[in-house]
Amino acid sequence: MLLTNPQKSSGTVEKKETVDAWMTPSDHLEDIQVSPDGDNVAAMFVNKEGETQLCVNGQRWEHGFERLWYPRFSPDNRLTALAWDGEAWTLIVDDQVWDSRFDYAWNTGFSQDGHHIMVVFQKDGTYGLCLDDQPWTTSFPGIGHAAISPDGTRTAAAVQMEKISEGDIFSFQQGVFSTAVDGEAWTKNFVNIWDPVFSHDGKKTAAAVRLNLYDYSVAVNGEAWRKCFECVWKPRFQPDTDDVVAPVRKGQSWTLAKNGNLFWKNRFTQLWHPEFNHDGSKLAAVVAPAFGVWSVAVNDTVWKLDRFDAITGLTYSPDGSRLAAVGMKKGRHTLIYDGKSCNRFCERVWPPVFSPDSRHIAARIETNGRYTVILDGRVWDRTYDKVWDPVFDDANDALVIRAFDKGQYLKIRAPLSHF
Amino acid sequence: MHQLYDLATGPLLYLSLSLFAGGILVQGISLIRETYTSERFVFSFLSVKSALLSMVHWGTPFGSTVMRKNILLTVVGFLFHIGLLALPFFLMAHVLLFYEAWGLSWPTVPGWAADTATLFVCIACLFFVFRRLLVPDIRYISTPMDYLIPVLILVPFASGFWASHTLPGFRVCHVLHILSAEVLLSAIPFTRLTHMLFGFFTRIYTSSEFGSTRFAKDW
Amino acid sequence: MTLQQTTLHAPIIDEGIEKKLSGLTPETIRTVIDDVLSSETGPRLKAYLKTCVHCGLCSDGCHFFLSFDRNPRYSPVGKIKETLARFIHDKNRITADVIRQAAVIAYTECNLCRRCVMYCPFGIDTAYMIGIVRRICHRLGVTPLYIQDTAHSHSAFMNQMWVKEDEWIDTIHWQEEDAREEIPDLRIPLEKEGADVMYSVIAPEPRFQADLIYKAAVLMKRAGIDWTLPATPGWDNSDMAMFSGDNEIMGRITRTHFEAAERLNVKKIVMGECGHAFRSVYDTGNRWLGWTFPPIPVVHAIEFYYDLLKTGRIRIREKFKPRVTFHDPCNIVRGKGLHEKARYIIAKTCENFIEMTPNREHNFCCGAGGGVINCGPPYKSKRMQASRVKAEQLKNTGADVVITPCHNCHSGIDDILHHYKIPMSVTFMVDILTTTMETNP
Repeated sequence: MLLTNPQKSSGTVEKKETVDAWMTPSDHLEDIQVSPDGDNVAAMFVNKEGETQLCVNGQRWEHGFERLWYPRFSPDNRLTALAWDGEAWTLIVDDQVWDSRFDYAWNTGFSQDGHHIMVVFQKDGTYGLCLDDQPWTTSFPGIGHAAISPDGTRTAAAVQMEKISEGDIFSFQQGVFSTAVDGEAWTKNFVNIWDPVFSHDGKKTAAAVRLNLYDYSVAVNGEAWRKCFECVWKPRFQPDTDDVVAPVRKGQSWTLAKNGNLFWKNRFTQLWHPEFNHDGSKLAAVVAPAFGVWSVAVNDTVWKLDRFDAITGLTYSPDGSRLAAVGMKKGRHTLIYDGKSCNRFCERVWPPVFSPDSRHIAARIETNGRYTVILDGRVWDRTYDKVWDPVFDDANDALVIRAFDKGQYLKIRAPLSHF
Repeated sequence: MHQLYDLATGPLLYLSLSLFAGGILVQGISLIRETYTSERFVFSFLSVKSALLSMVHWGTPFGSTVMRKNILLTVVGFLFHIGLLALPFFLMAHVLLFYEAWGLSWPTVPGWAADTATLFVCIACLFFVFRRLLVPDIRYISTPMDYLIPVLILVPFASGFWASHTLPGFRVCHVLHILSAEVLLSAIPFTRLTHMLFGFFTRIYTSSEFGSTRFAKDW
Repeated sequence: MTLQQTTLHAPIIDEGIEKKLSGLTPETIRTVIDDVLSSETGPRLKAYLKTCVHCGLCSDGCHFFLSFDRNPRYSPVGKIKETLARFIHDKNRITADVIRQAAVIAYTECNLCRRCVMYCPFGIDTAYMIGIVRRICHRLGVTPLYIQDTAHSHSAFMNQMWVKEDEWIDTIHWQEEDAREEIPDLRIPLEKEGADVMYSVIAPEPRFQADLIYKAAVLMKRAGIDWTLPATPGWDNSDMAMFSGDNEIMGRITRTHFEAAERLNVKKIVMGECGHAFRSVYDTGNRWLGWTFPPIPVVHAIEFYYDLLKTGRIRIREKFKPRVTFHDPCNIVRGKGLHEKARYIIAKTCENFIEMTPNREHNFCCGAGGGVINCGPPYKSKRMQASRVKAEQLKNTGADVVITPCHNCHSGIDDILHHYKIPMSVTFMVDILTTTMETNP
């Protein structure tokens, strides 16, 4: 049973848009997206001519396309969508079409502040990344695992360096994959490259690599660690030192390694998603201390939780002192934070959101087939057809609920005291 | 002969009982311990219900498909195992020994039934050996030990029958009976006869996986 | 009814197996065997090996053994004798030739179908032991070329057929366009975060059988399901690394699949009609990763269709008339007990159903699963020989159509029908459903 505040309040509705009213009866609604600040709601629909269009706050965009998909708001509230004009793919940003044209474009990505936008593209059968309408000058026979640096000025991806025919297992095993940064590949090839990541200043890249079919390692700027492991997962740079840590499997169990040396003392059935806080003083990871038992470990100490079947959505507070995640048990979810379970189980919980002062934790939830938000364990008393992740206002005194209900988009300001 | 008899019914008896009990105990405990340390996930999938259901089927004649396909083997196999396990405990002569040693007694099987069962166990041993020799896929996988094991079982039963009927040379047979039974007992934990213990472990695990994870019958 | 058997032709030369063999020394072989046995196996294997009394009852469980005229070399325990038992008892004398033979047996003469497990009085899991042999072969670099190539594709692009990310998205867009000619407002929603269902398929669908995605979309639309497909790797639920012995890649594939579902935060994953993929996400890959059961419930297409019919979300307009039979795929019947649900769907959709014998848990394997068909054309002739009992079983039904909700079974049975000239066609359950269901919900 979820708790709600008996002193209920419906909050202040700051914005209301009737999306249905934007469309003619022949239009077919495809997608609704809401900007992070909650001020813009975008609907993508197909009109009777079969053209896909975007409409923001009731204003139809000038450009219509044979096909549009993946409408997404950037963190700085600009609306983007991938567009096909019948001849080529491109990106449209706030109704402005990029000059670049591709045979295919997908996987739009943003820098943390949203000022930079990246897409993966294919042109003439070769692949690359395009940052702010500037495509890489070199393209490759294959691509995956696109990444953007924290400041958004650099991009990287795992790339295939040479074309090999299907069935040529021997060339594959010689190593045909590398990491390209801004279109320039590392000097060394590997059998596999997974999950390239940037250092916090964007100057270094690291990736999980496979040196042959059996030896896994981490390569930093193209140089593999001197030590190999049975398997590795995505590495992370330590913010203050640029050291690289990664989950590694050795002797059939997992732990963390730093710069190639085993780092944590505990051994786990599983360990992944290592995350540093902003100053690098804390390092947390999702772990399975025993088969089928999941928890969170912070600086090599495991949270003593009830038995969880899985853990996701590990998130630090802005000041780096607190940590929250979503725990799953018997198909139901709850928030866990500060080493404890919130014990409010419902159908679904989305990754937690901290207030700017790090004192409050909120999340989008589904309960009894309806959607609402939860704040510090208390559930908002209204439910909706759909909600997006809640956003705290800068003053830390209200939660902005972005909801969709009965054909209407609602931006609701809910004072924290009303939960 | 007397010395040998004393040895067989004294130190060797205790030695074989110790080897049997100790061996079974050590093997069983170490298997559980090793599972706990190196394959602990096994315990996550164990199901009492599925294990019992499966054992009922496999413990009932013709309760599994393979038994229905192999009628002769099923009949011989079941009767053989019943004879093998029951005779040592319900034979009049053996119950007397228990009574003399510890003052314990329980009902015994009639002499004619004991004789029939003993002869049946002996014939079954020969049946297993000939099956091994004659069926190509079984001959293909058989090792010398596979042929030796039925002989190990045959000897104490045949010699016991011989001795109990005071046929010529029954004294020698009596000693042979005791010694060969002790060898058989000692061999259980160290040969494929260990299936009498490990068979339960494998059955419990497989039937749990089949019944409660994969929701399928394993019989 | 006994069908004609063709004889084997020239010995099979598989470059994937041969190339590494020449460089293997007995020392290397021993080191790898020791390492796998000591660090990757434990009391389970010990118990299986100690318990087996060499009774030979498992033989009748194996379609290889039965199809090859009860040749002892093909009995389950016979295969263990020639592979794992030798590795254990004769480990100092394992030559490259023994490894070659072991690789051929483990990859191409056992479908890991687990039928023999039901024939063992002790429940000894021969498939598990053959899996260990495959693991050793993988560690030695001795794997059939075709399945190894598939494992490489998985490792590089997280799908089994080298499908690039844009090719996947393009296929979905193209299928959506085609489907809209039939149902104008039909969507194949990509990346719909928060949908109830993530639908996942195997790579041959976008490559060769995109109409299956189309049909799934029609079904979803008619049933009113809030669903999505990921546009990122993780859309492919298949896993040939599980069968090549590359457990690390198996884990990576399963993780990618579930993390796509976690990112989209769906309530459940519905999988297309594939058997081995179900084994990977429900039974094998998840365990390697440390999840007892899938962290997000995985529903095989058969369970999904069953629920749709049972709850009335789809209704049948007119039953399918031709005589149909049903092939129970190992990985969802011995792997999840879906045989009765499949029969419920058939009862609802088909007028003339003929059981094949044996059926349900005791059905014969199609001969393709377990990675065997993925070892490629070099082994096709042998695979056909090994499927003689399957062919007889199919032919004896006299059915016009065999339904099987598994891609490998589908391909394997298609090969069998052609090879043995059986006048029958093979179809997926979704084909039957989309043909027979009400189009106006």
